Amino acid sequence: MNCLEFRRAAGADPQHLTGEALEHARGCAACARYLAEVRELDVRIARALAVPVPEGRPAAAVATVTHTRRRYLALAASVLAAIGVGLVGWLALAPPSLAADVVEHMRGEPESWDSHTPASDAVLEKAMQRGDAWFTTMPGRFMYVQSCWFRGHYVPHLVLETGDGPVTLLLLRNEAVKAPTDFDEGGYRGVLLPVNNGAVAIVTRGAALSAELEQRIAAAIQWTS
Amino acid sequence: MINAADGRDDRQRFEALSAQLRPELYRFAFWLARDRAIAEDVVQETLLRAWRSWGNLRDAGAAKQWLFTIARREHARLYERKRFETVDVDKLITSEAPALAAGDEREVEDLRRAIAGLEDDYREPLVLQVLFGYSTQEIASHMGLTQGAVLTRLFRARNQLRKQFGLEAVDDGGDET
Repeated sequence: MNCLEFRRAAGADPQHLTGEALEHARGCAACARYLAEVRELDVRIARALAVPVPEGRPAAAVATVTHTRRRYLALAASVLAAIGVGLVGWLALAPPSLAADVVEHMRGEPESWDSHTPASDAVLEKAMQRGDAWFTTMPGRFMYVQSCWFRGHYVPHLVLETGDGPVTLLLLRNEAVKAPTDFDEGGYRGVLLPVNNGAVAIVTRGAALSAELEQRIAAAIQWTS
Repeated sequence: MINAADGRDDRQRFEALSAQLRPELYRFAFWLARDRAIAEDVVQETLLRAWRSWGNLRDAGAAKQWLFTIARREHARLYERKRFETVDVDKLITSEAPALAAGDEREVEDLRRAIAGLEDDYREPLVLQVLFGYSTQEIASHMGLTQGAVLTRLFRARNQLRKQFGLEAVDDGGDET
């Protein structure tokens, strides 16, 4: 493989190069540099592609709406009006896209709240590694652990057992939150807390967690990159 | 026989899936259309059609690809129906500035503009690969292309972005394979 062939291959699929291509990069400093540049550009492209997602209509409305343009527009207008009237307070408190996406994600995994079996250390470690995160001190036992695709990245989705019931954590390495932001929507109450250059979403289905426990959780989170 | 409970279960599953995949569906639609309003239309139309065909989805693990395929078709259909005029990328990018910039720093904004300026044929495979982790074989299947054509388009997309950001570009070769 020559340099031109290598660069075409690396420019097309930089994460899945053949053994021959990787061998070429090992022996060619210029092509190794090219590959590093392409991969670095891909990280930036991924970040750029993750545009903010606006608030959406609930899927229930989608599933029942009659498919005529006029009714669709009328319903969309009424839903928008309802959102405008009913959620003004919430929208004023939280960045709509991140808080709304957290709530949407909660709705998508209702079973996560009902697990009664602690997750294994290996499963937790894998999810944390994938999300570039780790705990300096374990905040408790996790009854549910998943690595979830969220806003363009894999994030650890954890459910912590507490005396007040299950508490969900989404560890968001790639989301910047400037200040603690409360939200209360659709039966989910939570807070977005800044953690270095990332954030953690802490969500309950009942009473809000104590501020002390929230801070303890946030303080225990470190990012690995 | 379908009973009411089955219907409710189906609906709950569909709602859960829609809620989970909506952000990705919106981003896919946005980068197809480069327009927030059209992207939201595409998402709504896609979910309507998906709900009607819900019974045809055999493999829940393939739901995302299924929705993306519907979205792609809906985007083409909307485009045809509205007969949008030829898009002036600069104008479009200006009109979409809030979505393209959206609270991020300058570099992200510049990159979004550059990606929005790529030809549709180059932008879509790049989005599928970089944002959604599709393999080149999956992209080929989604777009009805050969894998070789997908590789060429991906290379050209990155090469054009490299040029725009002052990085060394590679000879872009001949015709698409």
